[in-house]
Amino acid sequence: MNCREFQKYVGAFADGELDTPTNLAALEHLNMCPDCAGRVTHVQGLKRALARVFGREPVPLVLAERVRDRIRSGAAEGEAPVAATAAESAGAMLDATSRRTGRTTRRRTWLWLPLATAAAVAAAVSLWRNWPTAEPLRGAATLALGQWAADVASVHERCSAMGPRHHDVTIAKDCDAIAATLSDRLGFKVIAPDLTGDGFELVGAEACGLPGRRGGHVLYRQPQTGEWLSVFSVEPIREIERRCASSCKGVICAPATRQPLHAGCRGTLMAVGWSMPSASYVLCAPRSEDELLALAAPLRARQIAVADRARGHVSGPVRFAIKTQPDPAPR
Amino acid sequence: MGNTRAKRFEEIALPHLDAVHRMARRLSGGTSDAEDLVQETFARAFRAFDEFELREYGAKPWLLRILHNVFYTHAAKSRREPTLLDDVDFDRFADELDESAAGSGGPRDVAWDRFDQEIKWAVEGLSPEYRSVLLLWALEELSYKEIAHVCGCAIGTVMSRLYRARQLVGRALREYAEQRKLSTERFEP
Repeated sequence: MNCREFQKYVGAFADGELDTPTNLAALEHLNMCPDCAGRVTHVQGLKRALARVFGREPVPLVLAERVRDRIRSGAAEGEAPVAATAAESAGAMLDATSRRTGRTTRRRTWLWLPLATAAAVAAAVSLWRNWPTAEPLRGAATLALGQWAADVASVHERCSAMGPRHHDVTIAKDCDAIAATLSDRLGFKVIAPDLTGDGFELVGAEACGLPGRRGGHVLYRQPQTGEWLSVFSVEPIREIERRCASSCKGVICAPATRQPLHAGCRGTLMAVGWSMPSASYVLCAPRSEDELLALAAPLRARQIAVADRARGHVSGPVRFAIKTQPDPAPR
Repeated sequence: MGNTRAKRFEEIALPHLDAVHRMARRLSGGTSDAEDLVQETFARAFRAFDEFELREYGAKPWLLRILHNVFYTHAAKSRREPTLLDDVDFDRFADELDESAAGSGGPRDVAWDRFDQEIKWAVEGLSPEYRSVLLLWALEELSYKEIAHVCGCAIGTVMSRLYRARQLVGRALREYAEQRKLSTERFEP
């Protein structure tokens, strides 16, 4: 074996992947060639360096929880194993055999399509009847009205009707102090974001939570339009956790009610929720889904970054995608 | 029944969550995309769990293969065109070896720990095909046969991709070293 031949096998030699005769020939060459011995050292060094550089990334706690939730919700919903899907997910899509299996999957899908369509139409009609004055829902993230959203709407209505009286005198007046005080009092992380950049002024905070759940409620108001916005940090809401686990955005959005509740609330009251391991968080305001998602996204991203840092997970700078849309015109 | 299946799946699959997450991060290049990839991988794996043969390759290559396919399915959807990679069969790729490199003094004793950030940049600059083979080899320490299983290609292709990937990383590090006015003769294999 000469240097040129050895170079062909250097990686396989370093990894112990050569067959016995080639390995013996390679060893024989190495005994005579310090340059090729250096090449083996180089490959081994690169391998160790790659393992060191990329091997220090612990899994974010939130992700592990989400994967578990998704498995459990799949099991609870009786997610049945399907032979064709198994073949597809086992990776056979790229070869000819699995392309045949893939066609079988598509044929089965087409058989079920009319039934699935009928079920979807029936569900939509049922929702429409139970919610007679509903406006058309926008976006895939919008889900049917859930109990959590109704609870959020009722507390938002009650507290915003009280206005500044909602403020608990025992709680400090700035956002950071409110978050710290309520977090200490409740035993989990309460958020009280500074939303002045989004046009909302802090009105007050209360440890009022939601029906059946302890939590903090921070109330904001937009001076120009008189709109109220609520930020809830409450004990984990199972429905939000489950829905977020199966949502690619990690955030869910639901209409809380469509009726104007009082002078400050106009249009559809929307709620956006997401979950962290110790608590669930909800934003509620008479704003569109997109606007609320734009407000919620940086809050959630910041929480995830903080949680990751706490676990020693070093991530890149978090980019906040804040949508800068003008406020919608009053109806 | 469903709970027992889920529990068994968790026992077998979840110990490899870190490996799947690591590869997903490196393939996608972003935290949120990686999380979506990981969730989709485990959801698909759970659906296909009854078909899984533990004896053949073990759970880690199986999960990584699903991740690989999820990633390429998403990538193909977003690009709407097939990936083109100039793969060379192992029997032919040696013909392309750099004559001068083969004849010159080989690299030795690189102080790799001084180039952590540069190594990251160099690997992130590779095409996903080279990146995945390189990381499956170095991080997950899979055998060539297992890497071939994960990537759905021949062992010879794995060997040629690995060689090329190492060569490209070496060239990139050489360029960084030149920029920093360091010695450049030791980076390429």
